[in-house]
Amino acid sequence: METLQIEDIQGILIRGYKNLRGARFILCQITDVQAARQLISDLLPVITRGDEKAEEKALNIAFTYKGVQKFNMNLSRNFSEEFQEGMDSVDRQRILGDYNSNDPKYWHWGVRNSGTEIDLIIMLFAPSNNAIDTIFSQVYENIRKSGVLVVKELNSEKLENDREHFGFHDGVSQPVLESMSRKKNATDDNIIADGEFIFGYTNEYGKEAISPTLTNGFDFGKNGSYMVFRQIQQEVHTFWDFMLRHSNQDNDAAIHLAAKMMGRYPSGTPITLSPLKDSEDPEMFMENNFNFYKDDKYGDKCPIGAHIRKANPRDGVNDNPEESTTVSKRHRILRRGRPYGPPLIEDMNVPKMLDAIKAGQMPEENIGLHFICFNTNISRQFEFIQQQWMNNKKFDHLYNDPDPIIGVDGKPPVNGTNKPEPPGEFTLQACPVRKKLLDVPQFTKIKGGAYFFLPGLDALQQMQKS
Amino acid sequence: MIKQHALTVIARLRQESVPGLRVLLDMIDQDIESNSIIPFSRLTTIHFARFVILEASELDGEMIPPQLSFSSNFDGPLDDHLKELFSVAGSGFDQVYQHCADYNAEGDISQKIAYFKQHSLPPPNAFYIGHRGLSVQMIQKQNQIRNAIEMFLNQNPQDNYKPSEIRQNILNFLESAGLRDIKPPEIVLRTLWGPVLILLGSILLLGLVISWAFVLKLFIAIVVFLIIWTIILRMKEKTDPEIQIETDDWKKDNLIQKIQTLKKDEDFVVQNQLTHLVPIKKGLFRLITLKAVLWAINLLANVFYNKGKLGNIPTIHFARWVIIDNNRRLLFFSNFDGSWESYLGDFIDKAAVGLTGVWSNSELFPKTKFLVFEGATDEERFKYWTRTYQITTQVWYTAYKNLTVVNVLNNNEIHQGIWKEKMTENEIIDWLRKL
Repeated sequence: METLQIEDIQGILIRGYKNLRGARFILCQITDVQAARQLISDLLPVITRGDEKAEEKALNIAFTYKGVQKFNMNLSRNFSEEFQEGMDSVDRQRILGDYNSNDPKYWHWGVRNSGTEIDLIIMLFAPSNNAIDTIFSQVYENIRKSGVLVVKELNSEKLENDREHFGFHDGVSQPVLESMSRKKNATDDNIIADGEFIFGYTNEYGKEAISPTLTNGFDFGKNGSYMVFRQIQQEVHTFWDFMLRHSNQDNDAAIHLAAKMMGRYPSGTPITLSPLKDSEDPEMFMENNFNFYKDDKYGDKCPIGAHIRKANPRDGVNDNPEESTTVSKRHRILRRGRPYGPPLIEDMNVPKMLDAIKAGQMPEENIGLHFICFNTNISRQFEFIQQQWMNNKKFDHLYNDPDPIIGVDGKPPVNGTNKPEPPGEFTLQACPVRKKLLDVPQFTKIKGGAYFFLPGLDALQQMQKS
Repeated sequence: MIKQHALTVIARLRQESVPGLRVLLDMIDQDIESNSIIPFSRLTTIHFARFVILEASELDGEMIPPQLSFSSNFDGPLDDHLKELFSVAGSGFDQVYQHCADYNAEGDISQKIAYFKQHSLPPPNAFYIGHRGLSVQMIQKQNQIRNAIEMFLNQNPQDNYKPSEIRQNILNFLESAGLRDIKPPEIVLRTLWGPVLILLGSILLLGLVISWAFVLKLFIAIVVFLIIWTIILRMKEKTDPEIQIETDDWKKDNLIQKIQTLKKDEDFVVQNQLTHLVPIKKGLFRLITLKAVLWAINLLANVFYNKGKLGNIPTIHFARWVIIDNNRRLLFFSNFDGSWESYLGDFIDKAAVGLTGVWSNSELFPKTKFLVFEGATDEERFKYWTRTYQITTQVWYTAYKNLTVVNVLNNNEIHQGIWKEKMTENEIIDWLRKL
């Protein structure tokens, strides 16, 4: 088995810093490369490595293609096409379906020719968001000296019980890296080759991902990864209002309907294992060892178009469980997202959230998820999941069901005119016959994003020297 | 049962008329369904069609002139298809083909049909059909029926009915809506038994008529032949060059630019298309091997992969391989559901052996073992190779842009179920699952 060069890998790839509940993402533009090199050399000693436990604080950095370019690295083999183009490019927009309300022209950051392009992201993690200023005062001093321009600072504080703003337990299903699988109890279906997430190791095809290389032969990608960042605004009121309207304003029914769309209950229990009501067993809240083919092939429990089924179909598509598992394993991502903005209800109790909504209480507008994921092949992993599974109304044998939670389903303009796509449907498969929800609105909006490259420590040394 | 066919017409272009033709084809493609030149939606026999300009290029030091390829997947007899093309859009085809060296726009319809036939290629070396026995009209009708049933169910919840009652409610509704007018087609698919019986029959015949000793000798000869063939193949596989990820700036920029133009046309509707043109490796060995593999794939597509999956890929409506330019280049057309990335992923995950068997005989394909192994499974290299030899499709038409293969086949099963005289409770439950 391969051994990860864990001391050369930035910590965020290895762990999610669960105990560090506060985070801040500093989005910067580099104005003076010499000063930026100085900044890297200042930060190098404090960058959190994969072999550190990071109990008190953590710091990691990543660059967009525009950012890397400023360092004039002599690349004999460049980064991948999609990374070079960037998330806000016309081609990536088409693949991600970012049209209409998700159009980059409405984004708060990460948009070319608008002054909000990003070169560099500095990610800070601390026990709470408030503590960041004090803990990282030296880092702020370094940033100030370096003259990099801070375009935006995105703050984050974890919500109670690892919930996201709709009230659901988030981040339950994560791939387990093969070289770390002995430590965790994971099933084969969920153990994924290291090379899917970290350059320089074997991937699910038994090959090494094509990695950017310097003319002097240095493998610049080694121990690094592509980091996808999307700021996803969540329309909490629209979401629960829709569920309540389709459930005669009954809380339990509304929560069950939302669980059908998510594929898990707010607690995290997979609906395919507990179809009628949520389990009381806390083990189930973290349960990830299940499949669809054998007991839920038709989607009577977890609908075919449910969010978790579209994001990771496991063994459930194309009537061929073994092949389906192999294929699913080739489209996985390692997620490190964090929520932002104040929650509707502090303790994230969902029935209380529903009562608040019924009483006319409005959540803050600017709340959502800073979605972050890692992969070594953006087009085969993150983009594929977004385009072919999430946005694809034809997923498996469906006709008109985009992902109900984050499917954006936009099509490129035809002959210059942009026709909004009609709202999607959500099919609840059932025996004897299915039910359908029509006109499912979009519950999320994209508000910013970029593709970053998270270099290994040696690669950062090269940048600092270049 | 209606039969679907593949037409490929390749005509030589005058070099100087290529730019003008490109403009004309772009105009057609801008409004593919109802442009005034060739309004494709009025051509009722066409499932998919495309115009592709095969640019002038150099092959073994010889210039191949530019050519225009028109191809279609159509229903019924060729003559009816051609008659429809020229009676509905004759002047449009005139406008296109006046760019070709030897087309006579003044001629009458029968002369034009003769021109098309004269320039049409023999049936493809391999041809795959995703939904056999379903005409364009039938596919559209069946979708109309399915949509009507869905609407009925949306407006009339069936919570209090048993399966058989729900079915009856649906049938009553269809009756009242006038949607029980057309019977579903009877689709009879060929099976592996045909070719197997022919093979066994021939062996028996040879044994009885000549002698069993002869059959044995023949068998040994075939084995010896295969061993020699394998040895030669392995030698070639060790030395054949494979594609390298381009590092030369100029070539790299050219490729990136080409890929960008290709991508501009992708992902507008449910389906996408791929046109791919690659030189065949030199020498008779590769050519004969290629033809044999294509022959086998064609046979399997007819008798085995005829239920909606090629290999295990469920997303291909029609695909064909044709050998052109005096056995020197291999042309591939495909109409598939979903994105390029997902199609190529399917190639690797679900049909790598067959595709490697074909394309390992063409230029710079990723390294293979024993003809069918490795090759396409070198994921990133294979995708890079495919983009390198993919060419622009100037005009592309689909008659049912909102339907996947899976949708088309499911609609047919719904339709078949409507007309079934007797159904058991379980059959009804299965049928209702298709909604």
